[in-house]
Amino acid sequence: MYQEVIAAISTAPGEGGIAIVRLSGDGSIEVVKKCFRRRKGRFSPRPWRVYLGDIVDSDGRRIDECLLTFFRSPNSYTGEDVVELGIHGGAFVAVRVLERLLECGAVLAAPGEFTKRAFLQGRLDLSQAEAVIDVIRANSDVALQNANLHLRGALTAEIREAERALLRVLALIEAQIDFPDMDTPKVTLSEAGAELEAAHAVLSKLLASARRGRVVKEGYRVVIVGRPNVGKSSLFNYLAGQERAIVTDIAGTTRDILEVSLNINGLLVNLLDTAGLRGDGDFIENLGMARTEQAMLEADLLLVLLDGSTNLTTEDEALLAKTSTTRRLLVVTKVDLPLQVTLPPAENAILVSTVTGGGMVELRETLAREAGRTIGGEHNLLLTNIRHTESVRRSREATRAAVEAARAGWELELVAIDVRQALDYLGEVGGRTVSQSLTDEIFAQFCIGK
Amino acid sequence: MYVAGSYDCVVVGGGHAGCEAAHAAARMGCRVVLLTHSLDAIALMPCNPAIGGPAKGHVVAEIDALGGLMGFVADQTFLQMRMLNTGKGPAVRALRAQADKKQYQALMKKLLESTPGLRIIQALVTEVLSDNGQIRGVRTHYGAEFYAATVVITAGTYLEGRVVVGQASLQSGPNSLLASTGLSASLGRLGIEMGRFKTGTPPRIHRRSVDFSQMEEQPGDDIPARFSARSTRERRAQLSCYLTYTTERTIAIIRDNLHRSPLYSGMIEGRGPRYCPSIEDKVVRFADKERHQLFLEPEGFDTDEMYVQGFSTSLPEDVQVELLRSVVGLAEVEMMRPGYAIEYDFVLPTGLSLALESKNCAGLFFAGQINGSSGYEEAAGQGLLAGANAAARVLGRPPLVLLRSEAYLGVLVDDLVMKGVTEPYRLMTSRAEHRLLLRLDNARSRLGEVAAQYGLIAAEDYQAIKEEDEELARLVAGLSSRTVPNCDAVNQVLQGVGSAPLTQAQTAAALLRRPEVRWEHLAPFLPEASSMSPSLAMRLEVEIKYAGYIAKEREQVERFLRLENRLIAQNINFGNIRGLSNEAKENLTLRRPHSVGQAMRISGVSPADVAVLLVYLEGR
Repeated sequence: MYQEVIAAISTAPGEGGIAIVRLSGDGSIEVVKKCFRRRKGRFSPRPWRVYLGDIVDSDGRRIDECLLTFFRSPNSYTGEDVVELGIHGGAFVAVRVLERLLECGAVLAAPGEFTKRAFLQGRLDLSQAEAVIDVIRANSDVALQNANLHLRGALTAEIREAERALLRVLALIEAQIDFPDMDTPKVTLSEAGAELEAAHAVLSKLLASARRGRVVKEGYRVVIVGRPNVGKSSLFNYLAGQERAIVTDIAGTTRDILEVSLNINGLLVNLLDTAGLRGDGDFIENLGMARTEQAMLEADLLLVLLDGSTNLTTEDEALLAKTSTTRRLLVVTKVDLPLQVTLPPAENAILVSTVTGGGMVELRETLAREAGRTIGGEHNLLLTNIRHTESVRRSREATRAAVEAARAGWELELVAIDVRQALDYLGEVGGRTVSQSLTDEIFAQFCIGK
Repeated sequence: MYVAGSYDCVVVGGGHAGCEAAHAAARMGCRVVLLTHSLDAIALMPCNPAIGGPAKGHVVAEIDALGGLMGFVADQTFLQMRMLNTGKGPAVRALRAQADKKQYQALMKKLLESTPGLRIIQALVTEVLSDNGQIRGVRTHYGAEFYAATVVITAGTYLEGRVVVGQASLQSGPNSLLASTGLSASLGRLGIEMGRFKTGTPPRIHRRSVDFSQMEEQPGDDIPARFSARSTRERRAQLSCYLTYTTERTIAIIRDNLHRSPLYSGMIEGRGPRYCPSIEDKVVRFADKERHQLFLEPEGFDTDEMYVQGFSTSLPEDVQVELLRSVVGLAEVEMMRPGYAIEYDFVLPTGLSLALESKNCAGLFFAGQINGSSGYEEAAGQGLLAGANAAARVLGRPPLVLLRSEAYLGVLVDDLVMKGVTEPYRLMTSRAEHRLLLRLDNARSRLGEVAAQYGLIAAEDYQAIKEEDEELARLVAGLSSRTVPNCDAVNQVLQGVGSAPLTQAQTAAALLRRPEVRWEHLAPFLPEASSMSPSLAMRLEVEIKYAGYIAKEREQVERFLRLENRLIAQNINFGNIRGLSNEAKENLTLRRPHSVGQAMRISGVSPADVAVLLVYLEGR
């Protein structure tokens, strides 16, 4: 199926200290031999050794100095033969080396193809493979940390915890059913129900991390709203530190949503600038306003901007009323001008000026704090993957069904059907099937026999 | 050497597997000979006197549904009958008989003797005869050769059997019967892979030496149920079992004598079953348990021997006596037979097809403990299938293979053949994924059609099953529309079981779906109930009451069948599929699964391998 040797630059694009170009597939070393010249002696590579040499072009001229490492199948990242070339870096050099490898017979790897091969070779379980992809795509420190946790099997460990709770109940039920004479501890329906409630709570905790997981991976969404000309784009640009949005003083200039990703204290924050909300305006602007409404719905936090240099307008009042039940932060702009505005009582506001930079430190800190609160402790485990979330959600549903069955007074056998289903769904994340672990659990826990 | 006859099928062994195998093959019209080293050992129960229980009782019902003998014979010879798990759900209710061992053997032998087409001969088989990977027959120790197109080997725990008590050991089968020597080596020469297991049995004691006043009596059911639809229900005398416990002294004695146990001195190396540990194993593995329960079970009406369930041991004889005396109520015990451990050769079941036929030799079938299973019921079930498949081969019919979603027998065979065994295999209800569908009450309905197709039951029996199924469907439909009036009489009954009273008339089906409402509560208000047989009433109640769960399980079966029906061509070279782990390649090549569903259950095949396999099949 995968005959060809694939190659790609494995380090992130841009100017780094070094870059790594990686090849995978049977024959990787043959491809490299055509363009690698060892410094000393003949080149007959042995696996898991590092060789110093040069990558040379078809005329034998050096492209870059290079450290070559050969990993022989199956003990490599992908499970196939893998060659890694550590080169001096610089985007241009890395691309030249890659081009040379392609000349020598490698084909350019599709995105994620190394991981896919590793998965297909059985080197990674599904959740590990997904974690690797998350590492590659990680946008911020917390996301990277989270992805690393998954890679080390922490997700699997959390799933195992829920699995153990369910398995314990199931083993109790099954031992009682299969060995009715034995003096195994007898579990009543209400006891089983209570244990299942506990398992349900573990799953709920995992699921709660699903939203946080999205925030970590995709960023905390902060949406700037306010009436036209209140200073949304100025603030956006100030925070983004670049002239990205078009900032004018003609009302309604921002007609589409602009988005920039910020790294605030190691957290990924996506800042969105929206079209001003107001009663009239042309068609395109209305379209922009519809998008604004949508962005507001999807926001983790709204920055509601109020112009400090004037009194509240009816549009301001309407916006304040509209957002009174959402998570919002009031930001008073243009405080370099004389302060005119009267704020709604009992609500804190941050006063900022994009002209003087006043209040910006406080605003950044508040954003970091809010984002951090949503994400929770840095070491909490997060469900960042839709497939995992779905499986855990179904597992929780089945656990709920089991709790209800026990409460309604259905016999243990029926409760067991739902518990088994809950375990099956968890197995979709961790990749383990129920039957063997159940048998092991029964015999490990209970003294059974004739 | 002389030729002793030609048959369609030779069955080697007269235990529970051999009896069913010979009977099934003969029933299907084959000329069969059953060879056993002792006619007195036919249907012997060398261990406990019980037949049935969870999953095992289900197998007995399935054997009965497939025209087999075990359930019928147990029904005629029980000394106690109990329905277990009555409050735990419809599919785990399980029937268990304590059999009179001698009566059981005698009746089974009589039934085999009267089976047309079946001969029973005492002979010690020591060799299988084959030509180019095709079985030809067997040779006995005295030089007789029996020729046949098919051979079913059901050698139990006799192959190179070695009994161990303390430091003493003996070449022997169970219960001082002859071990089978030579046959194992003969199978090995065919390239059949063998393993070695260990199992054991507890001591037997004399009834008069037991102080029952210190024990808890366990009588049989007042109205004993039966395994077989063919059995009549006349009253039978029953005997009680007794529950007692070990003491602190028991545990101390075991600890003091562990060095004399062959299990811990390294004298026994075969792997024993976890669900049937010896008493010394229990004490070591569950060190914090202060006492272990034991059951005393009568071995028959005409004997005073009692079986000490829970006390399997291979400690030296003197320690066994001392141990028994430490048990509550056994201070004065007279031990009649010591417990022992037995080691034996078995055939790795992964070398068999789902028809229980060897992959090394066409026409050679294996069934029972020789396949690494344990238990009389598991043996009998395999025996029936192996016998039927041997006959099917002779008759040129497709193999009889039951699905996991169809029968416990399907689970049993599939587990053995696809997963293999690391300890003697015992069937449990928790091994069945679709347990709710595999009930005692619907065994005949589940298997009637296939049983009739293969000639294992008579056409008119199948007709009766079909009629009952139709009647059931009519009744289910009827009760779904029949209303129960909102009246005092009904509400009184409902309140009596803690159920909310009616506010308006409701259908009988809806009421029955309340967990706390049972058929017997509603029956007085339903005219059709009066003419219904108890077995039909039970099926009706289950079908209606658990309809929601049954539908859920049926959905799962459909998902299961989709993967079962995703076929894998037999000419696929798994070694060439890039991306499969080496272990998966090896195991898939060895087991040759017919479907993705089967492949998933093979050990060493990970979910990732299954994904690769699916991708590969997709691309073909």
